[in-house]
Amino acid sequence: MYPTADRAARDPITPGMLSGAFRAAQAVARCMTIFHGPQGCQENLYAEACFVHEQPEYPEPAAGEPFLPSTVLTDSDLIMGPEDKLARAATGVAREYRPDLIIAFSSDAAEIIGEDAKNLVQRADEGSDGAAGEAAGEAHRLWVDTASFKGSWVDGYAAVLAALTALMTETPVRPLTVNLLGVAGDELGARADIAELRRMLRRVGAEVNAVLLCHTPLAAIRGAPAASLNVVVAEELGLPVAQAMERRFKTPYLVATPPYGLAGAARFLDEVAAALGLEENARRVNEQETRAMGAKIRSYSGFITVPMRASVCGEPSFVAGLAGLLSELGVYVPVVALRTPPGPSAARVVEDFTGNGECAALVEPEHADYLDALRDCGGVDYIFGSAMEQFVAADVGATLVECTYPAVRVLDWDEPTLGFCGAAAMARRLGRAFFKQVM
Amino acid sequence: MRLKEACPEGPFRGRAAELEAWLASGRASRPDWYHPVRVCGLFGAMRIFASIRGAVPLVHGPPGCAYFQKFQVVISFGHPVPAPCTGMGENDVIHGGEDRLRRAVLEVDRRYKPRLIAVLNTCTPMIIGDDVAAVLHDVRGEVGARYLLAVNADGLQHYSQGHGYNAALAGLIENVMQPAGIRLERSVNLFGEVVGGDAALARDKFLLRDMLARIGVYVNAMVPAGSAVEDIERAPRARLNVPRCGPMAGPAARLMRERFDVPFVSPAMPYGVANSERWLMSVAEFFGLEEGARRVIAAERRRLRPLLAQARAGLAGKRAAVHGGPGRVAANIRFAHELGCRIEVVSLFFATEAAYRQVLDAVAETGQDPLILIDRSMEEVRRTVAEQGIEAWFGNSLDFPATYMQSGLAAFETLIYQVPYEGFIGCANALRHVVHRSQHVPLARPAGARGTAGAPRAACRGGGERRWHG
Repeated sequence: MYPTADRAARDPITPGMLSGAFRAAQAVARCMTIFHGPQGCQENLYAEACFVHEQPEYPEPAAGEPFLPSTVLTDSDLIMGPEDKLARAATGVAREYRPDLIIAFSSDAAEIIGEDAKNLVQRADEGSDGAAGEAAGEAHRLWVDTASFKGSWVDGYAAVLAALTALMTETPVRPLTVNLLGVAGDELGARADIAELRRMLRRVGAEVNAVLLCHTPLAAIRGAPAASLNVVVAEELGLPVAQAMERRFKTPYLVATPPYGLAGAARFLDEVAAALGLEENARRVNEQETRAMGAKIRSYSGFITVPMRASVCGEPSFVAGLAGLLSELGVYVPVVALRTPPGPSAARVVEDFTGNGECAALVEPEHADYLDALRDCGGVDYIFGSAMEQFVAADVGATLVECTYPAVRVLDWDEPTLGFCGAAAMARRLGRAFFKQVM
Repeated sequence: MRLKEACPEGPFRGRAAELEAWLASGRASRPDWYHPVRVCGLFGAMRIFASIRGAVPLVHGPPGCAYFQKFQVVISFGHPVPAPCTGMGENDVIHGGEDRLRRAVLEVDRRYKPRLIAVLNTCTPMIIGDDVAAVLHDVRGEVGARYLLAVNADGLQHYSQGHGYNAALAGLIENVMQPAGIRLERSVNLFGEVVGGDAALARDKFLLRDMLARIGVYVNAMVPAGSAVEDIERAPRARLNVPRCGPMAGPAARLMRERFDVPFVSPAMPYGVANSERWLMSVAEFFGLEEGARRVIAAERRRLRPLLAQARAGLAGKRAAVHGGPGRVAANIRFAHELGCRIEVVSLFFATEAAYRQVLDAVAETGQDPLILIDRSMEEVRRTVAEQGIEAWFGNSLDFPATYMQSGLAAFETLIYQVPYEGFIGCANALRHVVHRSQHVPLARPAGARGTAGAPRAACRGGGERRWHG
């Protein structure tokens, strides 16, 4: 792996903490957010949210567009103090929309001037208006510190997930049930991916208790401690909440191998099953699935007679997993780009993939670095990444497959990428791409 | 330079007469919370400097600030933008970001070898009080860049992109532009052009250049998009500035008039036939070239007549909403009126008094009395559009992607498009777009109808339009 130079001036390819926090909140059903900061940050969040393929489940009467109330801080608020703006916003949102949950986010400005925002949010139900107070009291309220100088989007997403543990309640543990943690519910095909993981787990005798987060209702969040095991699907997003739940509820957790490709899916199932004492089932299921899906994959990819070259750019778990899947399907992957530094588990997977020296992994590169690396390796046919990689792809003469956030020019992606079925679906996509079938 | 003008800064809802009274009162109050949609000064300043060849904007702030501006430009306008950033972290907030800025300026100078480095100051260094000017003064002798500018582009004081445009243009006027030794006859600057690259929006300015050439007026500089730093230096050679839109006809245009004696005219953006005529004629009148302009206008009217009639056939009598940035709104009011629409709702972001005046003038010309919403919550705008039974939409679909796509409104989108729309040539494209949206889009639904979200929304923002018009 090649961490890029420690530059004093860096052209960022990763959004800030606020972005991730907002994405996480949008993935909770009947949750409303309040942004405590200037309107420019709020508009940026709104613009990003407009690309999300999974529409948030707002309580009525919120409209069908992304909706992000803001306290719209200005310079005069800094000088005079924003007083109780945030508390009044929390009261107002609770009264007008009656959400199950309100999550308030801070901005750089609010953090620097030392707003006691947590207190303000909690005080929302103590307003002078009795009706408002009553309404505010019905919604659970959380405060998440999301000043953008404190981290990247993965930190924001993880922070919201971890904050949700405050809402969880002690529940009798149900054996052979798992939570899937670190799922980004607004990623392309997230629902299909979750369905595939559910199917795989059910086949070995385990049930999914809660998914954090993908249109997750508050009741599921509250009941999350009922799971007998937390399975961290994406380490960078899910590890903090797994650790928080272990501390508070003694729920054990497992940072699983990203379940991409036949090998990755089988290893994922082996690991989860081993933790639940279902090893024998996993062995049987893996054999059956690998045989069945392997046959399908061969039928799709058998006609691809010219070697395909691809690169993957995204978050560590996604990159490591997808690169493995592509490699398994016969695609040569000479370069991958990790938008954020990998945790220990994702780093291990990346090392496994790149350890033979045939693939270079760039960590937090600028697009210019990524472009250089792609040119150095002789170019690729495809880049699997986000819409932000469009100019890199154009410069290197590759086709961009937008398959991670933000994906803009994608009308639908309703097949899984994860699991055994995901491997077959990707083989089918590659086969179509090889024959230039776009319809 | 005063960027804020003596007009109320806050939301407004009412009719034209009430807007006049509101402007005169100078008073506005903001609600404690709402959902406005307007980017901050950083976006405006970033776009100005990112569009100049030989200039590099350096964002002094956390990486998230730089990424967001980059994201908006890349996704919405379809061209790459360098956004080097000092990447302030928690330590910098505590200890100050000046040392980081110093190193970043030197690195930007070494890496990009620009002629101009513009340090864009965001909220964080503004609040903690980083002395950006002092840092730039210190490093001036160590860099190869000829110009080092500091521009305040925080979102707390500069809470609209118009503020950012004006602050950045003022920086260019005060630091880069050189006194003109000669003044070029019949020359203008297209002032406040901000779209670089080869996106459709960027091609509009070349259509305007060609349109002016038809009456014998030549473009000295496009300030700044598409220009090199050297072109900006020479901008004061022009006889006249033609600001791109209302907000561009504000403080920066006045500053250039004071500093270099370059006056400006302020026509609405040239969308549609009437606006294009007015735009051309305002320049022609300044140079005494009305006769030539009338000939061009007559020829273009003949050429566009069949298409205009076809577009009118689809829209005449429809209840229309006009929404967007203040510059586009004034133009779109006239365009919608020209197409025979009944304008029921006009919605715009926070702007300057000059921009509000343009809107009021346009409304008065139509003889209609629409409901005017300024800087209102997006939810309120959507609700109002639904309540008014709007059938046609003029303006940014970016702000209401799902509403725009799912309703299938007969609409003229002015922010994301794949062919130029301005001037007479662009007008033909715009009219074809209107015909397509009003007569060919399947499954049209009335405004406010809810439907499935997701893919159409994504398609609207960048992808879909591209496919339809590619």
